[in-house]
Amino acid sequence: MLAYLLKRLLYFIPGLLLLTLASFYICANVNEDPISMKLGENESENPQQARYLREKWHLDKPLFYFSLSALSEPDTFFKIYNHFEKSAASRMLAETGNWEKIENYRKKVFEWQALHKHLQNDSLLQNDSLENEIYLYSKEQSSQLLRRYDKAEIQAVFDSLNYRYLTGLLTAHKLSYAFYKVQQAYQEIYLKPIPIEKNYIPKISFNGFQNRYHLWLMGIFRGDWGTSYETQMPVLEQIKSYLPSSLLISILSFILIMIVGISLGMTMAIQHQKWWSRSMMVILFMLDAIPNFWVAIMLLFLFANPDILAIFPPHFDYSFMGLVLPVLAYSFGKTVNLAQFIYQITLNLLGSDFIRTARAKGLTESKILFTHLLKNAVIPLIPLLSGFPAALISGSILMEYIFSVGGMGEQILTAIRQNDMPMVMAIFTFTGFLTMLGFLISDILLAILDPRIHKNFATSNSPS
Amino acid sequence: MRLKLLFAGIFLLFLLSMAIFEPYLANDLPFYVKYKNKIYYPVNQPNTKIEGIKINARNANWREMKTKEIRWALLTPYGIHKKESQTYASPFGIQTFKDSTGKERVLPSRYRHLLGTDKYGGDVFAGIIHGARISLSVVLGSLAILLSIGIFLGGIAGYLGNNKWKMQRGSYYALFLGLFLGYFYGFYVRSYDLMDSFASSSLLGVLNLIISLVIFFFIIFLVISIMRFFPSIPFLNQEISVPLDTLVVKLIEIKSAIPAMVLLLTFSILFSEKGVSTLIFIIGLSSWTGVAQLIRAEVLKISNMQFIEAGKSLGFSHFRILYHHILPNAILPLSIAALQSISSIIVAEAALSFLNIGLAPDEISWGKMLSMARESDIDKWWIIVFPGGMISLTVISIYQIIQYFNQKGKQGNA
Repeated sequence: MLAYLLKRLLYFIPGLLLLTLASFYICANVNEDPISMKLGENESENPQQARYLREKWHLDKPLFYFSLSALSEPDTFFKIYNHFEKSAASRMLAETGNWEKIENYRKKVFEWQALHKHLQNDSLLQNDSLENEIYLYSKEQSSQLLRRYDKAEIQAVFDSLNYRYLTGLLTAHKLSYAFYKVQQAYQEIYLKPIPIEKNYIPKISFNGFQNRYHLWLMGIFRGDWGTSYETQMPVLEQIKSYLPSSLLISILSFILIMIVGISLGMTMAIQHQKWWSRSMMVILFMLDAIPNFWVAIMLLFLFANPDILAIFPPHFDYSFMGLVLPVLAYSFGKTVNLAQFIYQITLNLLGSDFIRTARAKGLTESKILFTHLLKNAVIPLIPLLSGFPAALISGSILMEYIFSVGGMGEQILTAIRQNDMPMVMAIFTFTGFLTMLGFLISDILLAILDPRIHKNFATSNSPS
Repeated sequence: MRLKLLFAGIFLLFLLSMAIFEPYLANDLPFYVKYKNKIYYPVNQPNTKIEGIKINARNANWREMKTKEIRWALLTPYGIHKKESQTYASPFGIQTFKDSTGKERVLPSRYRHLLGTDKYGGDVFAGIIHGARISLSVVLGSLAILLSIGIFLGGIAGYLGNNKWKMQRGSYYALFLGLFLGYFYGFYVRSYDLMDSFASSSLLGVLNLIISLVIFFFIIFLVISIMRFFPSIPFLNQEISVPLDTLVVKLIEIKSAIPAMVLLLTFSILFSEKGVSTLIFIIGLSSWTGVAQLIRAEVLKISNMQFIEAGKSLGFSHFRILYHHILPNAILPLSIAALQSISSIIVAEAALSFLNIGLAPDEISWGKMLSMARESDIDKWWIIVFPGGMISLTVISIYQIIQYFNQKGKQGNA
């Protein structure tokens, strides 16, 4: 028994690590740089703030303990933060494998871009409208050029700028030398021989402990789940503020599901020869097929609609009336499932030997029902309940969306729509952790209640 | 029982044909145009232009052309009056439209919206037909993904278990190297090929994906077999078994630890583009565990039977036993699991498009029509009842067939 418990506990830890890895991997794959998204075009004008935020959110660090890349790729490739620039540079790299030349080209573009800032207060720009127009066009292109990778597109930009610079006066001439360098650097990238073979040699580089995954994981151990990109509030605090309404609905519907589901299922099984029980089975079968969110909308349509019956408010609030519809909709599908489940179990139990023995002993029906039947019918429920803590946290996303509950479910939805990665990672990991904890507890409980299980576990996992 | 099954089958067939013949049932394009003794079939060639004018219900210019004969799709297409009447129209009320002079006129009965219109004036019936097509394509695509992942993982976990796949310790360590190299040459180097081919057409994309997978497994195989030629070190030569079963079970446990909806939504952030293929990937990648668990259990059960022992003693290969002897015997439970997956895919698709995740903004589906009702207009019953009813009826029909299969399975076992 103890061996089984220890083994089960040991299996828990790698599972948890894998869970954090999975959630981190998914969220790290999102291309958009949160800071460019947040600051928009202000980023180039406010580099200090961008740098500060990047440092604070560890975005200026490598992703993982090690990274697998091609030999042509530099170790600092992740420091190109803008998603478009990154993909353009990466595509150029895939075509040529020549990072030095690409870096040189990027540097030249930056120099050209910086020149625009110097010229900002030029007197010629204020006086001459043509000069000003050329300047603005050039400035816009200089910040957009690095986001392109298509050869023809880039050539078109070069041609149009060359033409404009020819028509312009002094300002244009100042810019055109730097721009000439840019063009030269660009042609050099594709100059043969290109070291394309570097793209096909794998390289593993180790990044040490100063990486995003490690810092995030260590933060979790300290109880710091990160800062939301959107609200800049600690994730944990935000979760805390959204939790109460979710918990209220979840717990109320859990109670409703348990009471209605178990009692309906058991009564149906005990009276399974009666007509109402059989027709109830058919009805439950039909109801099982109806999606939960449609039920919720139908409830709203029927009972929160001024044209038909406006008994309940259309949105959730903390009053009794405001709770009725969400709780009903939330528990509908699960009650149906539970009733069917309990019906099957009880029907099987009713035919078993120990019930017959109990009857033969002359026990009363109620005693059989409550002491023998109920206890045995509830044991198979334990694995089902293991998902409950996670359901408490995540709520039902669809239900919360329909009734505007403003709880965790809605929070998940908003976080995903806004690409708020720390929030998504926290919710993903936290719900997963809770469910795995539920699995663990239910396994242990089952092992205590039913000694056959840990024997099976031991045989299925032993090496011989 | 038989009668219910018949109804379910008829309904599903009806749905299927509706989805397949959608272009001829509700479409902006006519399927037959005769103009100056030439015949055009715009449905089959959507870019057909007659004298530079696109024949399209939304394009008003065709009304001025003197076409000899024109056959429109059977029903009012989803978007035909979108521009002219941008409001709800009840299926039983008076339906009007604004003519070219701006006068409000009663819609001719030929163009009546049989099931009303939605918020943007789109025909609900046409939307339901289009939704059936979207559901069908999502079901087919996701089912292909989840069945291939589920059968592969469940099959190897159940058959090879923890101790049937033995290899030398050297090969075992090399396996990790092989995984890296396989990933590098199969996917990392080819990432832009894959991306571009998926952008051009999904068929080409799938083909490229298969090529990548072949490269991946080939490199792993290569690395493992190279290690066989180092026989000198006894430590590396020891045979050990690969705990495949534990790995797969662990993977399934972790995957099922995340609530389904959270998983679906989290996967959705991986795909920046919206569209049916995105939905297919999200749903397919996040719902294979049921099939994998079932196949694993079935394979475990069957591989203990005597005819498998007989096959082994005849010297059949692992592959032959698994795919020619075990899996054909698991076909009934597999089809039940597949049907269950179909119903959950349909509901998941509806739920995701209800949340406006996955589908492109201009596409309509069952879930999306319901979302219109939720957003503002809860009192328009036709927008709630018809799409939701279609989802429920489909799922009920599938459940009916599952029940039939279940009973058949029980009879077979008895």
